[in-house]
Amino acid sequence: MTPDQVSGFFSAGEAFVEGTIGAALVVLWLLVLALHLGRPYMAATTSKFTLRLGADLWWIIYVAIRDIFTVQVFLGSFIFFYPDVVKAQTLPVTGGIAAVCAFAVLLIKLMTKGDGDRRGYQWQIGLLAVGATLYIAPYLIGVQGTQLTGAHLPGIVKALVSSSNPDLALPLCYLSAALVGILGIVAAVYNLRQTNVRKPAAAAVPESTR
Amino acid sequence: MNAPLNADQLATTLTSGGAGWMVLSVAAVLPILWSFTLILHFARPYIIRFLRRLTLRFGGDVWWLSYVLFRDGLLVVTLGLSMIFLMPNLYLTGQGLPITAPLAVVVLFWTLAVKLLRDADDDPGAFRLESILLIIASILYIVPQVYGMEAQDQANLGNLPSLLVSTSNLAVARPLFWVSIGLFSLTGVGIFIWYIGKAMRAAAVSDGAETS
Repeated sequence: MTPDQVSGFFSAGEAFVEGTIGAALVVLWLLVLALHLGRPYMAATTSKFTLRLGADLWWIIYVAIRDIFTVQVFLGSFIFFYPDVVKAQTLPVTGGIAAVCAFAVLLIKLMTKGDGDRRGYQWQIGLLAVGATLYIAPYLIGVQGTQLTGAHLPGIVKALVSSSNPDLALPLCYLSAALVGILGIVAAVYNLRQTNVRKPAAAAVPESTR
Repeated sequence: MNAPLNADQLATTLTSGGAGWMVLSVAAVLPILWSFTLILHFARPYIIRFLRRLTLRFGGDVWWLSYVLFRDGLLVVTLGLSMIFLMPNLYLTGQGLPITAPLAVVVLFWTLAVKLLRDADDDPGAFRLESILLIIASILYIVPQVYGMEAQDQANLGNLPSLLVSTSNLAVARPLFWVSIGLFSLTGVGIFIWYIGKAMRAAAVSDGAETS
């Protein structure tokens, strides 16, 4: 083994990790979309419980899993904000914009009444559908289609993969980072203005939450 | 020098290469942890809104305690992993690290100090202070990591990436590093003195109660 080969070995490790995150995000996007679309089923099941404890736990677990996976989708998509990674790895060209959609969903959850707000929920579903499409379509047709041949297919595949279309991928990388930054500022300002919102009064809240 | 390595050289190269890979992986993962920390911290209104909907105290307990556990645990994990930025060999030599990372560690430590000294969940002023410190610390880490460490091949960013990486801007990195070490130590000593003072006051009060 030569020093260059050792260096190449660790570069391959990095590429493997990033490629695996890219593949796992397909599953995570589908899961998040399915969990959000499954809300009527979850609500219907909740009403069937004969014990309030069971219903509360069912709903808490559903909301916690649904929202934590939404956060995971955004966190996994963080690699789309790294210019070197976007340029070097075969990733979906619109992955960064999909990450913005996931972050916007989180912002809607924060700033609306959440599950009680029908309009907010519709926006969440819409953004998740757009995000999932922007991620999954270029991943399946682009990243997973680089070895396909045909008259027009190679051109389409090339356009959908970040490493073979850096002229689009890099501006989208910077744009999506800027958009997430702006949304993050909105979330922070909203929070700081909400600092007068305290936890519920002692009578309504368990001892340990005070 | 690209000649085949003997067994000792290969072992040394693999070990140092593995260590470098590990450090850079931690540095690359930390923006994700920082984002997760910020998301959980700023999710507080959403968590409280949901808490108010729960019909049982048990559900409220589980929900709120899980939230606090994850939020604060993640903060401590982020600080723990960030300690690599206070190691001179890693920060000032090798492939470099985000230039303001040691300062981010100090500000994160201050955030935890605020959490320790005041009750940010019941004191709006403390929550505001904690939020501002978290925002400053995350910017100090994420910006040089993304536009320095992860953008070194981007010619369109000009000189910016090299300015944001510690080893390529040692004139700024060195003083920043030693100032951060000093501030970190002072904060640690301050917390220790506060804790000893509090313990002594508590002992005095309990002694007074016993004598009366």
